[in-house]
Amino acid sequence: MTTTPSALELRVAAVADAAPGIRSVTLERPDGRRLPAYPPGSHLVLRCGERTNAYSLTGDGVDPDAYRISVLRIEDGQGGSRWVHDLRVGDPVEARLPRTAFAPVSRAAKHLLIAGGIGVTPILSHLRAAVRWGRPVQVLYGFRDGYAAHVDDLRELAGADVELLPELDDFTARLEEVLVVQPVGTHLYVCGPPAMIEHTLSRASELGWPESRLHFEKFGADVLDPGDPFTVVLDDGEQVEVPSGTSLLEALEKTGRSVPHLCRQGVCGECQLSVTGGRPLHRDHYLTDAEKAAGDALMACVSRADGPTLEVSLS
Amino acid sequence: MMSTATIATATPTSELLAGFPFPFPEDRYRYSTNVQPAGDPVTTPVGQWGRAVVDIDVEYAAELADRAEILRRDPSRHAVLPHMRAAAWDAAMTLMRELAAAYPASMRLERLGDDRWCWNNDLLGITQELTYGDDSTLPEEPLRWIAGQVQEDIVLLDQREQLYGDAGVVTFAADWSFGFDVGMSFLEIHGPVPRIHPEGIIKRAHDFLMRLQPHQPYRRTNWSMTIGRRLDVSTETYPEWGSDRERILLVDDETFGREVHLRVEVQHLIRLPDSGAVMFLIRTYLLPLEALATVEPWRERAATVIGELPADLADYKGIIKYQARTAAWLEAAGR
Amino acid sequence: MTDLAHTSVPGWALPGPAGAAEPAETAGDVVAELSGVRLAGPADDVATRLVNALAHAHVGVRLTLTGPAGGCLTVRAAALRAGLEDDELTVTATGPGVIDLYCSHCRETSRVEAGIADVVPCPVCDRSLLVYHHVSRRRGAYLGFQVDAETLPPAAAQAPCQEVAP
Repeated sequence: MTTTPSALELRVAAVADAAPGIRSVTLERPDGRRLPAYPPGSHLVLRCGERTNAYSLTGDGVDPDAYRISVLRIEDGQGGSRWVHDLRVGDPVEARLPRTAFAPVSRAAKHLLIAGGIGVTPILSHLRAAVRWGRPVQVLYGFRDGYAAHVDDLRELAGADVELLPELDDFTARLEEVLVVQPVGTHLYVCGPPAMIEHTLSRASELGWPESRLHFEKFGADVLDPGDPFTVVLDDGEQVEVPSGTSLLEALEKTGRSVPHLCRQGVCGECQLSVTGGRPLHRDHYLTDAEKAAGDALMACVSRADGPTLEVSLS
Repeated sequence: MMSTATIATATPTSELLAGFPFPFPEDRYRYSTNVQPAGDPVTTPVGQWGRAVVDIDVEYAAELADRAEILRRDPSRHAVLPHMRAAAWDAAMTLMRELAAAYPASMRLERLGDDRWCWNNDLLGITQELTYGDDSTLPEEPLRWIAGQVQEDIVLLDQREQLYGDAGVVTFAADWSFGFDVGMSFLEIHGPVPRIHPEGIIKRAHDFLMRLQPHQPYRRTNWSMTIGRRLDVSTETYPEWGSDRERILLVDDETFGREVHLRVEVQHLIRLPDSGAVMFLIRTYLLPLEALATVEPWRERAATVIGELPADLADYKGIIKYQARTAAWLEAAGR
Repeated sequence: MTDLAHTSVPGWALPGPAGAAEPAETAGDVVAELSGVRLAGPADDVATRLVNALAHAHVGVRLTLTGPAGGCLTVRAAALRAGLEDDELTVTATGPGVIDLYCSHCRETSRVEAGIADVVPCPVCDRSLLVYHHVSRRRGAYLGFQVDAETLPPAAAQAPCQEVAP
């Protein structure tokens, strides 16, 4: 674990069309070794040309031999999905370690899984884990007729506990029925288009579901933002470039300067620097709201500049 | 005479010193969210620590025997709430991988097929075929089984809206009761610690843990003091060791230096990659003052830190009664 | 004095003015309301009936508890074990009374009339226990530990000890 690199060099082992416009891609290590495990509902961050995008992993995360994703092609997006759809077997792909942000609640008496369209991908991962560990589960899958993905996988895993709902009216009506008959202890997980998530969550709340039982994943929400590049001006007047994807702390360390630091995650306060000019963009969890508003300090390991330059003092 | 059940060690001082994680980076100690990435070896004046998330040293057999005896006497030190079965397996699997990676000469994990493994621990003469998730393939509950092969205490935190300490094997607790605390939230467990709540330290630590990612472990250290080489200073056994805190003031200086130990915990914080639970590994080290004093930078800094420690912190750490004598002893040892 | 606001003792169980709630007909009783169904009686009795009611209930229910702090802790513990989450229950304590005290030494739980910082003998092992400001949500009990564990017996305090440790 302590030797797991943060970037994984993978290779496309297989591509297939799961449905019109939905491409399933299988990624493996070139040497065939097993991949780092991941909790259900995890996503994989891929470098897609100039950008990075996150895609939910659909496979079983226990001792995986491959990472499998299914991606909906979006014509007027930023290009990430088009990049994925252009992948061919054998192509190299750079990925980061899987990240967990939508994991099942262990204590749930039952898992109510609600998928809309391509939102079925993390739901499928949840379903695999539920079957592995013998957890009660029920799946509602709403989709545009002819555009369902992974139906065979869902049926094979959960049989009659999976309901396919190709008509929006059927989905909406069935949701109403299902929301009021769940045994105490059930947790709900929803993933799909934003409007569908909003509808599901608001109906559930209106029908008495408490916040603690509602879990959702909106695609695009958790991608790590590499940030805009900026220039930092130091005490002695030297200017250091901080590129996108490099932290202020890393940029300063690359110049040979030593900056006190510890956690590299914005929680411990060790790398605090004084800001003497420009406006900081705070991304830490250490400074109070008042301290952030004052704008005269920032955490070098995670925070950046709101604007093209920032003046800091290292003394 | 000090309390019974202290484990005398025949381990030479040099070996205790070589792996000792001296806990004071500055001349003043206060609580902080002192987490850092794990796995970077820390070089000390007399050795090294922190190369891996598990640490086997020359005390391995003795401490495992101590753990087994404590669990026999008090089964409440081992608990796995029903929903934590997957996390317990995840912890066992993760620890086997870590042991095999850190000690390849004596630990091996071999894949036999889907979910089928063969584990070898040569230090304990264990060869075990097992199926991940299948309780019938292990001789005992998985968390207890793996806890019988590491010197670390293990706590598993279930992640819901907050983190809850819902499973663990803790035989070497420093002044707390895992048996009572099982099921409490992380914030509730840390309720009694002074200063950390108003200063926001525990909330930051909690938020940090909630965001931990698999395969990116972190670590931090904690410290206190113990009279006698005694690992189990839990609330449960307080009547056995509590009066040592007063008795120690009556002994001569030579005995004081031999009996009073600096106690350091190295805690590793790991997001388990299947269940998503957070695993806390707590590895405890004890070093008598007389050995500590042989390393001049350690002697000097420890004297300063302990002498300066505010009364409420010294009281919470249980050292208030012998704090002054400890600082004085360390000062004098340098002359 | 420890700032009890940041301890594991729930806010409603802290010593202070009694909650302005309607007490049960019988003093010491707990009243549980599960989305319109009212259960009243001794805490253990209400806990058992509540667990049965929850086994047939659906997500959307809410539970309110009213009664002495100790009794509420007991019923809340049962509700949490049955799968309820914190945001599905509300507790109003009507004052002190009997509490469940976990003796960390003999590991038995006893019902005693006491409050935080009181010293009571453990009914099982007779040690003098300090009722600590530490509550287990799972047990619905306070932690007790020997209040005088650090005190030397008088004879030992007189003679300096010269024996070496084993």
